[in-house]
Amino acid sequence: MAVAALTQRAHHCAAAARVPVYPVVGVDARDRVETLLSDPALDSVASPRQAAVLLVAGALPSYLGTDLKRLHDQLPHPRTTASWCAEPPPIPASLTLGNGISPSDALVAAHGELYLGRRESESDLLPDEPPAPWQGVGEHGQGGEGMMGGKPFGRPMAMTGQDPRDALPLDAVTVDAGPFLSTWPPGLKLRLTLQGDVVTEAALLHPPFRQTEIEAPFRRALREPVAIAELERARAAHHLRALARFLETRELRALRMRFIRKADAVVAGELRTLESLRRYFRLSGAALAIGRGLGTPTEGDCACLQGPALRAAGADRDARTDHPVYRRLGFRPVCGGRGDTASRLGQWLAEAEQSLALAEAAGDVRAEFPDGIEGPTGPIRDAAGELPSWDLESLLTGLEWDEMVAVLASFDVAALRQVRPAVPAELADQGEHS
Amino acid sequence: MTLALQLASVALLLAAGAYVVAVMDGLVGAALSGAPQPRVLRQPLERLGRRLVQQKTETEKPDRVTRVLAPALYAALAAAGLSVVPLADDWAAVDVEAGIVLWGSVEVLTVAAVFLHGWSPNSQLPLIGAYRYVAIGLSAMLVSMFVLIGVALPAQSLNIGEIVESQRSLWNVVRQPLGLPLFLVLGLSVSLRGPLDYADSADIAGGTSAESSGSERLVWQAARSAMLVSFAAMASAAFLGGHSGPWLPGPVWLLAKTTLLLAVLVVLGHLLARALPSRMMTLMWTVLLPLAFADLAIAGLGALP
Repeated sequence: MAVAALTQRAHHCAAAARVPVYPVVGVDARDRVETLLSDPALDSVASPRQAAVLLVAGALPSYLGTDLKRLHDQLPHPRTTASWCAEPPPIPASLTLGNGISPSDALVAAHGELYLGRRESESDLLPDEPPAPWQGVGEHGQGGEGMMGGKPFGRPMAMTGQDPRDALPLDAVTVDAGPFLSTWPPGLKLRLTLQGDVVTEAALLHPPFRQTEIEAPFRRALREPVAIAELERARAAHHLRALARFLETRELRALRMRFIRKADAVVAGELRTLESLRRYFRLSGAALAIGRGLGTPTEGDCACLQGPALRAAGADRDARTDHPVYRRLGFRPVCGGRGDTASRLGQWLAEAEQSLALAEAAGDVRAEFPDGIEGPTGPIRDAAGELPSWDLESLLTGLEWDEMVAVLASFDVAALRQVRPAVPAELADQGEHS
Repeated sequence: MTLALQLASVALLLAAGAYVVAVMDGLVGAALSGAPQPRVLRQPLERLGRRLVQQKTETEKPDRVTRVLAPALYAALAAAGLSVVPLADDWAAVDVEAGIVLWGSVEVLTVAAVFLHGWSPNSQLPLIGAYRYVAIGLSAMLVSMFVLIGVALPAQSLNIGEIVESQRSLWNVVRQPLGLPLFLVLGLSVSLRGPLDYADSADIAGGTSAESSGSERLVWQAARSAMLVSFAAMASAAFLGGHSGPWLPGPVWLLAKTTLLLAVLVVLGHLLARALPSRMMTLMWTVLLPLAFADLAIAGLGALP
């Protein structure tokens, strides 16, 4: 009796708790998901094992279906899947958001029902068995040398290899990371050979998904006059969100939330200065925490970059320089960094501040940019040519895991989509319009 | 007093403390994020309810024994640490002659508990967290050992009661100004918090906890908070005069000082960025360790007759 009453009490408590959500972000959905998850009733969690709701947002290519199913099966019971603007969802979803009722209310309601037993927990989508059979090769049957290496049951085992740093032979293991790993650009999948937490080899398996929600006003400005203030606020918001993602990699969840909320306030025109954000950024020591010289692309690779990442390497290329309206506002590009991770972060912050100042100075001025405009991640043109690609794999090789995560967070998705080896066209296409 | 009563009082203090930490986390998080949190007082209980009824997930070929033992060991270490802190004159749950040495062993074994927690699920990201924590956790522990020898010097004893007694006229936080700040680094490290969270961090999807859910996660998270409470009580005994103070009874003073330290630790945990492991290692060995030597020198000079 007492146990039954207690269990029921626990279920009621659980039903009222903040909803632990593991977000799977597809094409053009990241900003939306981040804003949704800044609702205090929802809690964005770092591992699927902590979640009760799998939120699948935005279009996802069907060939990532198996990855998504595997992720789904990692959620503990009771669990449910919600799809949001992902028609058709790549996995069956018990809940579809965005039909009149606010997405966060719908998630809270579904989560409550789940713990009160009024909504059924979803069963596994994949059979609970190893990805490959036992291979029975080699001395101990796993296909390696001695007791090491090989791929028993399709799972790679560590094998002694030369350490690149101090010549101490350590076990190397090859694993696939992504495409739905938290704090990573959504969609990015890398095949990493790790010795401890040092990346000794990196190969790109899948690029991150396109994220161009914030570019809407810029694309409009190619065709019709748009208020400069609107453009510059969108740019500032993009940069603040980028910084927020970096802050998450430094374990600063509360500050990350502050930056995301302020980014939304900037777009709404409710924020005129970033002084307090800069103070928090400095106080947190986020730039000190990574130091100088981390993640500097080669000179040739730097030249392939666009927008803030290019300017953070010292180039003063900015399409706004030549536009008469910007010239009247006294615009001069912010540039002169060292091209490392800290410079790219500083660049985002400085450009966000500059954009807010420009938005203030511009007032109601509107302008059209038929020849192209400087977007938040680089020039936007109607007839965009092929961009030169750069080498992300060598940039990541030799870094420790945490360094790799910091470096990845310091590039915008546009830059990460521009890397070698080029994405096969059919993959890219499926990624855009599934 | 019977042993059962002593153990119960330690468990009760840790549970209450863990709840206070959870509420503080909610309040500080809300203040820093600018997003008002609803039901801050209830949220920890709601989370507790969820973890009680949520499925405990299984991984492929885990080390089952250590998977169960690691969270239990961590919680037991928090209890052992708190049990040597005197709550009032001549009253600690366990009054051992060398209490400070026992606390030192709690620090060391915490590294083992965290490593085993990362080892046991047989999964890549938890293992990265485990190894990384051993490197950083041991460095933080080394710094704290010198600091603790510093507080034992004026008392000429390794007994925590004696150390509290030696601060009747002047607290160690004033006598050895470097001590408490250096010791706080250890507090963040043993509770895997904020800037010293190299084990359970976001960049490795929750690290050693990446594979745990349900009751297993409940025990682990509760043990993290309990360890922070245990640390704060030890720090207030070592540096803020523990239970000593005018007018109010001893336990009230100890609670007040412990709560203050908890608040400081929670704010630091939310406010400071986690440095890259290599940078933190450099900071520990080239800045914090020499500072700990300086602290010990100051303590030694002060203890000269």
